[in-house]
Amino acid sequence: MASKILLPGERQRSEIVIQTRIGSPISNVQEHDLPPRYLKLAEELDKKYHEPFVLFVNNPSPYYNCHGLTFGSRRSAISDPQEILKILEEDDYTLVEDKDVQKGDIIVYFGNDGDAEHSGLVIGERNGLPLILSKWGYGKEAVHTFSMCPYDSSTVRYYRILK
Amino acid sequence: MTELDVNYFSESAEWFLNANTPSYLYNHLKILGEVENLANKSTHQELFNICKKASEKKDKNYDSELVFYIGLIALSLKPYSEFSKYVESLKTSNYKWASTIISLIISNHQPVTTATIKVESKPKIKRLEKKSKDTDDSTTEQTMHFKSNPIVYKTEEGFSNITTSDNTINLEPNGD
Repeated sequence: MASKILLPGERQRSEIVIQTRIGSPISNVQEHDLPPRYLKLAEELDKKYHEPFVLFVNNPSPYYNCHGLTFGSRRSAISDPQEILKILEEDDYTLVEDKDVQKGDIIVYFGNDGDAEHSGLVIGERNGLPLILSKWGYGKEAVHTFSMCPYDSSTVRYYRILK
Repeated sequence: MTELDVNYFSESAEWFLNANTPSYLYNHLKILGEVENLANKSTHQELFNICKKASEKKDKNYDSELVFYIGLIALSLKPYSEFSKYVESLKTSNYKWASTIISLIISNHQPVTTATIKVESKPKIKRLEKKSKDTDDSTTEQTMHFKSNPIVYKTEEGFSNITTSDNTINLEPNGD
């Protein structure tokens, strides 16, 4: 694969092949380096969101985002909300009632405009609320209760693959 | 002013860091005080120049991308007539979310598209109101415009015995 020659300070970006179960391509972008300003900002989020509500894990990474964690095995960032809807449909995800949520389900946060602005994996529960593992943009992964994050938790939906 | 110092836009930088989608970034930046201040103290030409300079940078990086989005969203806070002629030209900026955010801005400002529908028939509905204690009016006449010829008529509560003749529908009140 031919590599593009980068100018000093220019970002290295790439795209890999990600497909749904039935073979539809999913657009994605990998970014390779996060500059110090944004690394520092990610570190400073610890002051705003902290234990016992939020536990940050891993280092900040621009390679993948939340949807890349949930649907792309941490390989790349998926930013187009339409692609998330495509994955949910073509991977045959089934909507799960809030009361039936269990470990292994996924959670999708929908904004007021219907935008799938965030997603994560259900890894347990705390005080009766689902405990989520998700990635915050270019920043770190975090373990948090579903509402303790900078995303709109007023409209969340849970999904599961049944077969 | 054609260049912004991102050090003065720390809140924008935090939303940029956390953003997973362009819509999320747009929705949060457009309500930030620091972006609104920029819009208030800059002309639309100045904001456009900020975006243009950021988009023409050869060594595009995270900071120049953030500057572009801040400038663009500040520009969108200007009256539509002022920024509309500029934004389309910024779609080619090569920043990954530029095109989507510009589409969001335009769709948020443009009036809802109107369409003229040619109506083939203009059925009249003559409604015989139930007699009320409060009014002596016993009839109301309405004209309803349909996209096409009406197919299904639903009996309203309190009315029955729909009879049609030509394009007229009569809703007669129930006896109860």
